[in-house]
Amino acid sequence: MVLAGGDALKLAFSMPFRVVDVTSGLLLLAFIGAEAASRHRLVWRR
Amino acid sequence: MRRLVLGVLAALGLALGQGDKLKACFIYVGPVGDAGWTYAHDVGRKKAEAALPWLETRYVESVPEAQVVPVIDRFVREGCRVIFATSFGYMDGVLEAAKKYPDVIFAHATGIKRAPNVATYMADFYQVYYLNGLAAGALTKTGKVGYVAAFPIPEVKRHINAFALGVRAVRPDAQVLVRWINAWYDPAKAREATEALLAQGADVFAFTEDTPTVIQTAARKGAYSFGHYTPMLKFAPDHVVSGQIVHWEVIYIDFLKKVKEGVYTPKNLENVDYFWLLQHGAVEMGTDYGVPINPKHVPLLKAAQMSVEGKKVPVYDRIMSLLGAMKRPNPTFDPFTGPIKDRKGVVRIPAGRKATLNELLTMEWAAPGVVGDWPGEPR
Amino acid sequence: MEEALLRAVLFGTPILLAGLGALLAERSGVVNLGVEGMMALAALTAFAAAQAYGPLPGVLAAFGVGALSGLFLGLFTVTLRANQFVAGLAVAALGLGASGLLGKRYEGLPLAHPLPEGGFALLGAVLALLVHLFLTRTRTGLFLRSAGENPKAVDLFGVSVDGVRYLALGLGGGLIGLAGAYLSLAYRPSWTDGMTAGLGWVAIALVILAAWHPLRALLGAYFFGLLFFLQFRLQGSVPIPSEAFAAMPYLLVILVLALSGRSRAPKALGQPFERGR
Repeated sequence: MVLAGGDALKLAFSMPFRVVDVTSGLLLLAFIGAEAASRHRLVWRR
Repeated sequence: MRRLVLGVLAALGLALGQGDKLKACFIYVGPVGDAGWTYAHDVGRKKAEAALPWLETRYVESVPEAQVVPVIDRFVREGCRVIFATSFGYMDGVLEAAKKYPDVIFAHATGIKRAPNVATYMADFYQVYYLNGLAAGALTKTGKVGYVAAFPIPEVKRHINAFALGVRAVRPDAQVLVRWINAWYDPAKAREATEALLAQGADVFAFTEDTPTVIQTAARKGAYSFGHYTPMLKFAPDHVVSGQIVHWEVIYIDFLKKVKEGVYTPKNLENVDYFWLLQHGAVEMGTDYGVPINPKHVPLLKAAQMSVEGKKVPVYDRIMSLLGAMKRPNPTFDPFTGPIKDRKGVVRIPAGRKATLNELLTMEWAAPGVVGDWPGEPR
Repeated sequence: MEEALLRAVLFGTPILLAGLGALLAERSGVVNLGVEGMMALAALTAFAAAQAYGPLPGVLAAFGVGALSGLFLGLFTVTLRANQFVAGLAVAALGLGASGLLGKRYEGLPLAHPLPEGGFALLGAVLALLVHLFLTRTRTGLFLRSAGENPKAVDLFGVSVDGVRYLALGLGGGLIGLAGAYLSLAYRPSWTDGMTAGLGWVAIALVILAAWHPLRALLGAYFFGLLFFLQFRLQGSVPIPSEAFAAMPYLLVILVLALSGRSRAPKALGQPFERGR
């Protein structure tokens, strides 16, 4: 989904495709990072 | 009433604002940094922008063929009046969009189908390949010249054939060993294909793909080579004899000027096809800009002789005189002048005439001396 | 013939080095799908450092950047226990993207002092042996393997599973970095965006096909290199279309390695370790 979103970014804003790579890489990491963080909070509360 | 005046003023302002600059937009198939095809188009775009103060440009890179229509949609919304689509594979999308936007001018590189608002254009190297073939024929000791080629399509076949005709004009017993890598950009394949040709005894190299890999690999073994697309002397200063260099800006500037002057409109492009060659300055023979032959190799080419109409002539002189002949407004020489047979002995271009544009654009046969797999070879 | 063997080793070497790097991580239980991006970033680093300080600093810098990017991946896969496949793909995209953007000014430049390919080839072979010995003969290697098979046992021994996995990712990243350095300092030698051209993915496949064994990885990489060369050497002299020929290295390597014995992934591969679960 995020990768497909990267293509949309490229087309919508004429983003150079390596910028798209970096952006989607960072988005993915932010996404799984946030997911991991929320999971951990649940564990910690227990 | 006030509203109407404001509306008219706004419309006027808009019209003036648009009248200031012509907006031309480019669709690229690869990344602009690829050092080959897309890079060369982008250099052309920048040079056109620098040369034409009234020009404004935009581009999108790495657009897959299936996505060309959405990109055109957006370009049109943003006010692009001229759209350059720089890949063969955009053909159907461009023709479809051209119907949707009859007031926008399209130009399709390497295309073969036109419409009232779709022109086609190409800067072609076949003449330069022939001249480089002459040099290669003079420089090979083993009689085996290597050619690393991207895809077996008419454009590449035409270039290999022109090159092989040149090689054989100097050295009638020479072979041009062809290896297909089925990629425009793949340094590893280009490297190993060159190694394979070196192992088979090739000692001079030409290629059609988007990296300087062939040059770098050949130079390690002391083999000569010819650059492609951009000047490649710097990758092997002692071994790059010459090469093919493109000048897309020549076509872009001419085309855009004619749009600006109103010569080209969205209604009269049906027959506008640029197939620009040496005579138009769209391509150049060179190891570097303005240097047709590496000075280090000039003495070798002056010492080498070839026979032209029964007379012995230094290869260097022949290259220079043909280069001059093809740079003239009405060229007095063409590599594909009959009689030319293919490698199976079938006459492909009859005596007494040149190949037609259509014959050049649909070339599938292989010239004599070409050795190797040749997909799509006519029986 | 000897030419073909030479090419087998010289083209097999970057795949071997990157494969050993991915293998170390996987034996410790972490899937590394970031190889392609890490290799690209290291190739650029090697080239830039070699232009400024000479070839050997270039190699060291590539090892360093590879190791750092391995540890960066560890931040997500080990510490945050995030999905290893997604994190790896993100690192691959990030590495390719960043190297493409940062490398613009090195694009199309020749390298003043290339390194000999033979040196790297020797290094690759020696490293394959060393990785094998490290995994089978050392205590740290034992813990590393156990982290991939049974991390709980490692934990019970009082050894940090996370620490072992970081070690594997860092060392492995360094080896992947060496693969990148080989490409931009010896094999090409120059830098262009996207020059890894899929070799990182080949390396990841190699690890699986070599059944996570360093010496089999060595044979597999060389075999792939041999077939890759032969597709061009034999093109035109055998009646097979060149397109079909191009698929041959992949198919034959899969076939041979699949037929030659067991293939079992480390049991805990891909599973984040959490104490007490």
